[in-house]
Amino acid sequence: MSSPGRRSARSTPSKRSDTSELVPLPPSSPGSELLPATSPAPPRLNPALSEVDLSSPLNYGTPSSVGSSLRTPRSGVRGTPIRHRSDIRSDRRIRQVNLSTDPASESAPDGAGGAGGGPGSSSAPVAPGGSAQTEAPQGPQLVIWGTDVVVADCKDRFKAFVLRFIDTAAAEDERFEGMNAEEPLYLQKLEEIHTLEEPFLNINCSHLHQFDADLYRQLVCYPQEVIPTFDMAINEMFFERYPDTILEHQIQVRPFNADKTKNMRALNPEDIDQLITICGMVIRTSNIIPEMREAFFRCHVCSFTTTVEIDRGRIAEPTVCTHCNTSHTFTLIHNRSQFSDKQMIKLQESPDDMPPGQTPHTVLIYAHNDLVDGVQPGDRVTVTGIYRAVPLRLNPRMRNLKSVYKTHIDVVHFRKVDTKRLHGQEEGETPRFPEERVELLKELSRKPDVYERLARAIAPSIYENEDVKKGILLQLFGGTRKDFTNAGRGHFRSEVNILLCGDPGTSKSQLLQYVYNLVPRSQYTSGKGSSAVGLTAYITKDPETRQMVLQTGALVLADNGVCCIDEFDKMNDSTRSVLHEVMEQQTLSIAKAGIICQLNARTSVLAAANPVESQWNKNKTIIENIELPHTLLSRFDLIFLILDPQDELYDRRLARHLVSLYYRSESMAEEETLDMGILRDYLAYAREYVHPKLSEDASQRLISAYVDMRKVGSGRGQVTAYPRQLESLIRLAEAHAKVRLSHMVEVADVEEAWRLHREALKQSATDPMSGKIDVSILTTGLSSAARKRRVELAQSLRKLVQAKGRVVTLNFQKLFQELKESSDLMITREMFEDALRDLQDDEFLTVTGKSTIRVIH
Amino acid sequence: MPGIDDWAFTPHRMIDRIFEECGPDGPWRDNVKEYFEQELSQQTTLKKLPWLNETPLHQLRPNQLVRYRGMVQDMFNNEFYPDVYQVRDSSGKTRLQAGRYRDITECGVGESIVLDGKECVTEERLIYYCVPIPGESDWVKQIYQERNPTQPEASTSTPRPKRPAGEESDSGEGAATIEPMECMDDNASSSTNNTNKRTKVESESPAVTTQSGEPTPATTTPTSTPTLNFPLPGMTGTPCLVKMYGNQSFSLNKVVEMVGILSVDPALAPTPGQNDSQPRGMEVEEEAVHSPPPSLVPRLHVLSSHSPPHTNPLLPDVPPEPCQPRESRETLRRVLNEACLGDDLAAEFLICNLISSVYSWKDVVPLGKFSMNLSGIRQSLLDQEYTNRLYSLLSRLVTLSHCFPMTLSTMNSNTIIPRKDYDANRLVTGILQLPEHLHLVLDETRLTAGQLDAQGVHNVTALGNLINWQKVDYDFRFYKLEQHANVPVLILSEGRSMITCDLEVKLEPQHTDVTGAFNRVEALLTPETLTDIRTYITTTRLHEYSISQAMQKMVQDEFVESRKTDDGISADDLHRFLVLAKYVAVSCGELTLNADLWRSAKILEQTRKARLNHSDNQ
Repeated sequence: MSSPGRRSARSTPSKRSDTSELVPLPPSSPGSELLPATSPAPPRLNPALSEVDLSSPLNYGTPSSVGSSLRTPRSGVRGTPIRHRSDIRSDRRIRQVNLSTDPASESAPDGAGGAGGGPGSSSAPVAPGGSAQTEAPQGPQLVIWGTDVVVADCKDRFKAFVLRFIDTAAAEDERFEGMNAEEPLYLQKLEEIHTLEEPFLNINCSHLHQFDADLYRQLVCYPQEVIPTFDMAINEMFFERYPDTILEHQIQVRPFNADKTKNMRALNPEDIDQLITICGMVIRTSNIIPEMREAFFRCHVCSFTTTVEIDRGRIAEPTVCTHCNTSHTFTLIHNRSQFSDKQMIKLQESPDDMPPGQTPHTVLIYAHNDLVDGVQPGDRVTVTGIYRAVPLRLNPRMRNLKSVYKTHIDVVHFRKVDTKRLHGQEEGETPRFPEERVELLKELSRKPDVYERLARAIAPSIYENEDVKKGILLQLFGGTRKDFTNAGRGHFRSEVNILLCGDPGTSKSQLLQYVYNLVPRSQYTSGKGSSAVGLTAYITKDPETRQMVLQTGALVLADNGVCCIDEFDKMNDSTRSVLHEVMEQQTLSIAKAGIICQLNARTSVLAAANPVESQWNKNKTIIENIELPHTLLSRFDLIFLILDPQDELYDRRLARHLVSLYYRSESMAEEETLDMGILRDYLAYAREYVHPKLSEDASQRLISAYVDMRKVGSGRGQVTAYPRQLESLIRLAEAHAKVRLSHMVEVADVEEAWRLHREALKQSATDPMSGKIDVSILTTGLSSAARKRRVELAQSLRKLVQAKGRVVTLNFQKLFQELKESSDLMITREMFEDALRDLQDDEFLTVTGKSTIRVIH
Repeated sequence: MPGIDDWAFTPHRMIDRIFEECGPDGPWRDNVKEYFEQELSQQTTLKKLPWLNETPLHQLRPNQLVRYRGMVQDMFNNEFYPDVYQVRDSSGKTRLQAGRYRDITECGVGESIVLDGKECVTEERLIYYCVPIPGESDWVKQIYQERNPTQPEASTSTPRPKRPAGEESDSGEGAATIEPMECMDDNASSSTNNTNKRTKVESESPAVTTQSGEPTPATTTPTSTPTLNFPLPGMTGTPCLVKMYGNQSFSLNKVVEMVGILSVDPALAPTPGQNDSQPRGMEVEEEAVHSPPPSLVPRLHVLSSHSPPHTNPLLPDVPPEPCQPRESRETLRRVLNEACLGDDLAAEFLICNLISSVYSWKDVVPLGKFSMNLSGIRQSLLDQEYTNRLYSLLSRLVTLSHCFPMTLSTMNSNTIIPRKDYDANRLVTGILQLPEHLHLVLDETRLTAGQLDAQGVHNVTALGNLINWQKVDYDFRFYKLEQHANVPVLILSEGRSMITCDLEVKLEPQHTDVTGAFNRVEALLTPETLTDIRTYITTTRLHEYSISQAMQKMVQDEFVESRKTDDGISADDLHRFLVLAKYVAVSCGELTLNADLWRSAKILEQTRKARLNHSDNQ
């Protein structure tokens, strides 16, 4: 289970000045072999060494010497107290052993024992120093018992690391203001500590790995010994540099990002007592538990006081007063005892790490001191800490043990995965891909047919509909987020919205389900079942606390994802109206029950709707077919019609495809799920790392495409394309560039976006009367031909009225009849009313009452 | 028990022997596994082991081998345990012991346990919370009961006055004995009582259990009895905490048959005051759930396990081909015909429904599902308890079934969707946590007009998802966890069901004498025919099936042809035809589709449609 090096060392017991040699059973685990209780070595006293100890620079660095700090003159000198590190359980004694087998050398370095974290239990008033080594470098190699860590060596190497490590590629959230990438990183951090007086130093383990792989290995394997050593080293360095500084307590080193970042499921007994880094979601936090760190006792006979440190979760009450020699006279004085904060946190495996058909694992975390309340339920965090296992005792007085260990992690560092989201950046999680995977994705991106390939990977069970799949693919990639806050326009939407409209039974729901399953943060709702509050957010009263609680609905939950809305047409109007804000501004405003706020809802909407008559009527426009308000329709970048093509070849291929589903072997199905994984990674990678910008050529092409679009309408004196369409075009072009993982939008991207846009439009915005593509159908709900007709009708009505001569009032019904007769077109009552309204706007006539029309001359 | 029973009654002795033979560094783990697997591979020896499901706990000896079948309801965290540990006696001498397959690390008088010696090995084991298979039909239970070997009274147990479950204190026993002497007297029955009480509470006032995963606020004391977490109301039996070693693992909701060492040491129960100085805080509720009293939830250390392809005790694991499928089919058809009051069409579709199963997933689409809505059950039939009688007939034919009465109160209760209780850190079960191939009957005729609350809407959505996508979204509060299901559904309703199904069959009864019809069914169901039908349904479901090249072409041509006419078949229709054809073919014992079967499937579907249109026009 552990390296032979941990066992082979011969034991040299540490100097112990007390009489009651406590057998240092590890409080935690079977993994760390400390001195087995079976071979107790007689304690050796070496009183001469206490002097050496006092002069040892180690003292102020030893966080564990709290107990002794009261009595050790050095530690308090600089005004910076030492703080007990309950997170790494430094209250253990650390023993050093001599690797050399020469018995003669044994006695000399004895006193050096315990240098690492001389625990300062009350019985050992003076923490043994480790200076023997520094003074006699030629001396025997001393290692901490059970490890291969040589304290002095370890410190020197760590100092070298701090002095010399220069970080060239710091992650964004590790950067701090005024950081200079050319200078040694951690020296700058020391300076920061000096300025801010925050006595914590976060060490990125990958830096350490880069700099000194062996030291890194020691840190991971023996964190309990190595971290205190680092503490000592860093404090020595700090106080050398800034000797006059007074900190709240001495600097504590917090390593994070240990390379062995593990899936919770993969934790196994071998990881016990090692430094591990795992990710997960916080599901529960306990109240703060005050844990007694040091008990204060007073003898009520002679008022002699003494303190006892916690040892393995217990306080051993002193029985005999050393001062007056009476037994059982000590009482605990609560308010003079020292407590440290502790909190229990439950961390659950994140759903992405979970194999199918399993339930998530959880792990218990203890946060200590400053880390208490650092995280909230629901947070996704990366935790670095020491994995512990404690045997579960059935009963303290029973011999038999329940053969189970309780495991937990003593956390040394939290890293919130989604802190970046607070800064308004996109994508909560930073997907981290191994090199091979990135290489694979890049290779895929270089294939000339990557676009088609990926489009085909979307819902392979659904036949054909290539353009629809391409549209959905672009939606999944999304455009580039643009920030024009300074220019006063806020964010430009980067999300692509798509409406699928078509006959029943054309697999629209399946497409939606597929997207829902593919995209991590997606929601699926049905228009029939959702209400406005279900989509947006609602306020409930917590039954226990009587507090108002804001509950978020599907659209907010799908922030940074896709919100799939099935049966969009069945949704009632008030529900649909909330989508207006979401689909353009990407926010949701709530003003309800005293809560006024604006929530982010940066979601792409993928909606599916059936035509009004359930079957598509070819003679009607899309507006008439789906009866959606055009203000909403214009917010969709792409509107696809999924119609039966009524083509024999298509039917034949469709039939073959369907039949093949019914005799396929299961191995085929597995291959395709693999594809889904790659597709998902590809999407995540592109969304995170690729932010294409328009090239000069591409913008020229966009301009000309837009001008073309407008020209189509200008022939009839109508504006047919609106800036919104141009924005859609830009988004689609950017998304297409993302497909290629290209950082530049090329002309080809614009061409494809333009093609897709036209392709979708061709179907959805064809004027049934004229057969021409007309975007204004989408923007005003009326085709320009219809608008033209309306103007013409108003004109003829005007003529009709004028022909009547000087009449002041006209009968409504009569005029309607006359107009009908005079025109060779079918005129409906609505058309007539529209014409009247137009004339009224021209101040030609007024409609008074229900049936009289007054002509103004 | 002398002789062969050695390994069955005292398996630990066997394990210790192998451990000693091989030494702690030797391949003792593999040898133990091999030894038991070899013993258990013989059907005759296997049959001598009692079923934990059928045997009351007090008739079993602690640490004996038992068989158990159950469904994985929840998975707890892996457990670290000492695989090898040291025992030191008073003289300081140490010896090594194997801790595998044990809950308690033991040592004798005057000895102490060392867990951190250098030869100690820590290992991990998987922990599953298993419940008896939900919806297991009575006849299946009965067969197991009959086959269960009669247990000799456990000789070590001495009757003692009954104590309430969970109150065993560790004061007396355990201190002196290696084998726990505690008697599990009457616990089986008490657990049954508990369950009954629980289900009664649930059915009467679902709101009580909605508050939290725990039945009562009394959970603050760790000894209060946790709910047994049975998915279906009215379930009885013994749940089990199963500990898996090595690489054995199963997925959630799998039905597993296993052989293992029964561990019921009362010391495993949570005891008040045992929490030493460590503050436990939020662990209290968790403790109650994760280590329930072993008298209620025994532990099982699994030596061998497998997930059977079906749950029919009449058949071996790999069932033989049905000998006369067409005749069995005819018998079944006659029975169902009577049950459908002479409606032949409904009977034909019911057969397909009974043998249907999802056989593959095509990204999100389950293939092979055949959920069916039997509508047209009129009030006059309901007055004669038609739906109950129909369900009880079906439950006598299939191995697993459940009837869910859709009333307003059941729909509005939150016991349908399984959800994670983070306080107790367990998955609180719901009716939709079902094993594969369970036949779910939804009785919509019970539904009255009224209001569904938010929970009710969720539940309807969940039922819809189950029927149409064969998946259930488990509620993990912060997110949903999707679980695939494979549950054939039959909805009984008066009009068309509110949940859309794959197909609706309108019942056209030839007569309304329900009692008479079911009396005739009773007469048809001799023990032989019952066995015949039961084996038929299981074997048919496991049947292989394929479509030949020629048939594929024919189907395609037909599709293309029909599309040329105006009211041709749509892609959805083709899907339905293909599924129906599959089940028609399979039910006749055919391995491949042929033209006749295709035609008869088409006729069935057309008749069904015609009937629906006909009634719509009326």
